Amino acid sequence: MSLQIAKIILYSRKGEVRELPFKQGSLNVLTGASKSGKSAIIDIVDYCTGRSTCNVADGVIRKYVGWYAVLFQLGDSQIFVSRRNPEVGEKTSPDIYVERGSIIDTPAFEALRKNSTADSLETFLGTVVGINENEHRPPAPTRNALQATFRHALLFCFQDQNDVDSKQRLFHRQGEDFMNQAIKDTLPYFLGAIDEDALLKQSLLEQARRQLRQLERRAKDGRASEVEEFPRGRRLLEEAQQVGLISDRTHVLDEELIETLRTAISENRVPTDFIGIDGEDLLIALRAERQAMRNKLAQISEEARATRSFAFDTNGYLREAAEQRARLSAVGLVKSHDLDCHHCPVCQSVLDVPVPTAAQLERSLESLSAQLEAVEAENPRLQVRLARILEQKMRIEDELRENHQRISERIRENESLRAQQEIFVQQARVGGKIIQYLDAHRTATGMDAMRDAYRELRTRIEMLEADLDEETTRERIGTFLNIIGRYMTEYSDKLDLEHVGSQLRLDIRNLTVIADTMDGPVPLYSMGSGENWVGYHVLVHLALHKWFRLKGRPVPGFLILDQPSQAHYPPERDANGALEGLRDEDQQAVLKLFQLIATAAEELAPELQIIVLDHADLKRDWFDRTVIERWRGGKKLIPDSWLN
Amino acid sequence: MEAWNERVVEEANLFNPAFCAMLIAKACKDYSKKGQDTLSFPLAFLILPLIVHPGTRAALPYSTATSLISWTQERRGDLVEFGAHTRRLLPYTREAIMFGLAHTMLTLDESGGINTGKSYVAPTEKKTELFTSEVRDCLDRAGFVGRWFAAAGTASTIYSVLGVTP
Repeated sequence: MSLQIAKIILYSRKGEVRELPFKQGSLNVLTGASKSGKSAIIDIVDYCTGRSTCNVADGVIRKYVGWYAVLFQLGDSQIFVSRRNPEVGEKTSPDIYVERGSIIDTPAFEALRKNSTADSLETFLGTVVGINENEHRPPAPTRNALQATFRHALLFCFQDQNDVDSKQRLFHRQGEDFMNQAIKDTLPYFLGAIDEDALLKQSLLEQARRQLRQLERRAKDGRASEVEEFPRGRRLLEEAQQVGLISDRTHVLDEELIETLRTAISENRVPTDFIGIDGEDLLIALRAERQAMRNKLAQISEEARATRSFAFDTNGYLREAAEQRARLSAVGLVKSHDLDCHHCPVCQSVLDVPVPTAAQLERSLESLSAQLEAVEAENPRLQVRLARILEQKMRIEDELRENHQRISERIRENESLRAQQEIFVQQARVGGKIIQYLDAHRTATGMDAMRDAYRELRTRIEMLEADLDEETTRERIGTFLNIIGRYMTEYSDKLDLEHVGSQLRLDIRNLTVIADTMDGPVPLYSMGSGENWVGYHVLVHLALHKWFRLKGRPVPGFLILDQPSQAHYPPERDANGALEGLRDEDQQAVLKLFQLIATAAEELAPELQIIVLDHADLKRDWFDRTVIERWRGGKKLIPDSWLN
Repeated sequence: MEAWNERVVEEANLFNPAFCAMLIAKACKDYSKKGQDTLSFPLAFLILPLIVHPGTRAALPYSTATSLISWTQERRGDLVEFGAHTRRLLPYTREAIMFGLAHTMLTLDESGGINTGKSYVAPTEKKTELFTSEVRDCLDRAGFVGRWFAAAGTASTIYSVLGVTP
C-alpha cells in the first residue's frame, strides 16, 4: 500500500475546476509542447505537500490559479490536500485544506478554507506513509540530531529537468544549503538500515548509563563505612555504657553489636529505674503524670484524625453526589414530560430498552437531593465533635506544658538532680551518634543487592550498545547498496551508456553513481555527455524505488521524471513530439529509455507509479496506452477559457 | 444498554440522557452558528467522548485557532484511549439523541444533519442553579467542540484524524 497520485486539481480564482487524473500503479506519460505547464506539475505537488515556498514559475499558472490541490490514493482511502496560490508578490500562503475519506469527490471551491498548517500537514503525511519516530545522530556533536520527515522522503520522488541531466547533483534539491547533508543523514533510515526503534533504544541506553553512574557513586560511599565498622561500633558501645544507655554488665559479641546499639536508642529501653537513683519522689510522680498525659494526648490526636478523615470522606461523597445531582438537573431544561419512550422517535420501531423518561430522571434527582440533605444535616454534628476534641487536646497540651515547667523547676531547685540532667544530655548525644552509625551501616549491607543491580545494568548496556552499533548499521547499508547496485546494473543493460557492462553502485557518502571499470572507479561527474547523466539518474531512481517498494519503506510510491529525453531530443528541436527528424542513434536511445521506464513500472505494478513529463511522443501502441493527456494545439494545463 | 432502574446508580446519573442530550444540543447550536450547515449526524457521536472524559476535555485547546488536525498531531499521546472511549459511549450518545428527539430538544434535517429543535431551552445560569463548575465546564467545552468541528472539514476527515472509525 503505497502513496500515489490520483489527481492533480486546479481551481481558478473564479472557481472553475481543472482536473488531471493519473492511473495508479503504472506509467503515466504527459506529453506536450514546451510552455504548456508540464514542469509545473512537480512544483505543484511539492507545494501542496508543505514546501515552504511556492516555486511554480511566474506566468499564467500563478496568475489564474486560486488553489492547487493533489488527491492522493493510499490503498482504499484517499487524501485531498490543497493549498492557496500565494497572492502576487508573495512566496507562500498559510491556507491549507485537508480532507480524508474513502472516496473523495472533488470538493467545491467554496469548501476550501484553512483547516491545517504546513507543519501538521507534514507530520500527518509522514504518519500516513509510515515514517515512525526516527532520528539520525551524527557521530560528532557538531550537527543537531536530524529527524527524517515526509519532506525528506519526497526528495527521492522528483527529478525536474535540471536535476535529471546534472552531473553534479543526483537528487532533487541536492545543491541547496544543508540539503546535501540532510539527504546523506536520512538515506540510511529510508533504506531501512536503521532500526525503527533506534531512537527508543538510544534513550534507554542513556538512561541505563546514568543509573550505572549513580550506582557506582553510592557503592563507593557504602564501602567507606564498611571498613571501619567494628572499631567505631565498639567505641560507640563503650560510650553508651558510660552514659547508662546500656547496662554495664552486658558483654556484647561482634555479631550482636548492631542489635545492641539499636535497642540502646529505642525509647522504651531508657531505664526509668535509673532515673530514680537520686530518690526524688516528687519528680517521679511528676514524670508519671507526664507519661499519662502524653498517652492521653496521643489518643486524642488519633481520635481527631479519625474524625477529620471521616468528615473528609463525607465531603468526598457530597462532592460526588452533588456532581450527579447537577447532571441530573439538566432534566429541568426538558419541556414536555410524558412522551412515548418505547418507540424510536425517528422510525417508530420498538426499542429493546426504553429510553429513560424525564419522569424517571426526576425521580432519581429527587431521591438524590433528599440523600444529600440528610448528609449535609449530619455534617455539622461532625464539625461540633471535631471542635470538642480539638478543645480537649488543647487543654491537655496546656497541662503538659505546666507539668514540664514544674519538672524543670523541680530540677533547678534540686541541686542533686543536676547530674541526672547532664546524663540526659549525654544520652541524647550518644543516641544521635548511634543513629548516624546505624544509617551508614544500612547502606553498607545493601551492597549485595546493589551488586546484582550493577551486573544487570552492565548486561543491558552491552546489549543495547550491540543493537545500536555503528558498525552493524554500516555493514547493513553496505549490503543494501550492493543489492541496489545490482538492480542498477541489470537495468543499465537495456541502455547504451558509456560504461555499459560495468558494475554500478550508489555512493551515499558523495551522493553520486560510480561505475566500477577495469581502469578503476568512475564517478558520474567524471563521465562525459548528457545522455549518460540522464541515463544514470533514471537508473538510480528506478533502482531505489524498486528497493523502497520491495522493502515497504516509508517513501511515497510515485516518481516524477521531467524531460528524460532532453539529451537526445532537446525542446528547441521539438516537432510535434515526433522522433522522425532525429538521427537514428538518438531515436533508438529515446525509445530504449522509455522502454526501460515502462518495464520498471510493469515490474513493480501496482506498487509504483511513474509519471513522465516529456515532449517526445512515440508512435508506438504501447506508448500510446501510457499517455494520459497530449498538450498540443491549444490544450494545456490551464484551459484557455480561464484567461477570459 | 440496561433499563434505567437496573443501571449502576452513579453511571446512570452521571451519563443521564438529559445531560448528554444537552451537551449534544449545545454543540449542534454552536456548530450551525459558526458554519452554514448543521452538524452531520456521525459527528454527534464524537461530542461525548471529547467532553465527558476529564482528561480529554482538559487537553482540548482554548481557541478554534488551533486547528483540529494540528491538535491531533500534537496530542497523539492523549488520544491513545480515544477509540475505546468512543465505543463505550456510543450507546449513551444514541440514547441521548433519541431522548433529545423525543422531547424535540433536537431535530434531524433532510441532509442528515442534526440541530436544536423547537423545545430547546438554552441552559442559562438562572435555569440551572444546581449545576457545578464541572458541569458548566462540560457545557462550555461542548459549545467549543461544535465551533471547532465547523472549522475542521468533512466528517470523514475529522474521524480519520481522531483515529476512529464511524
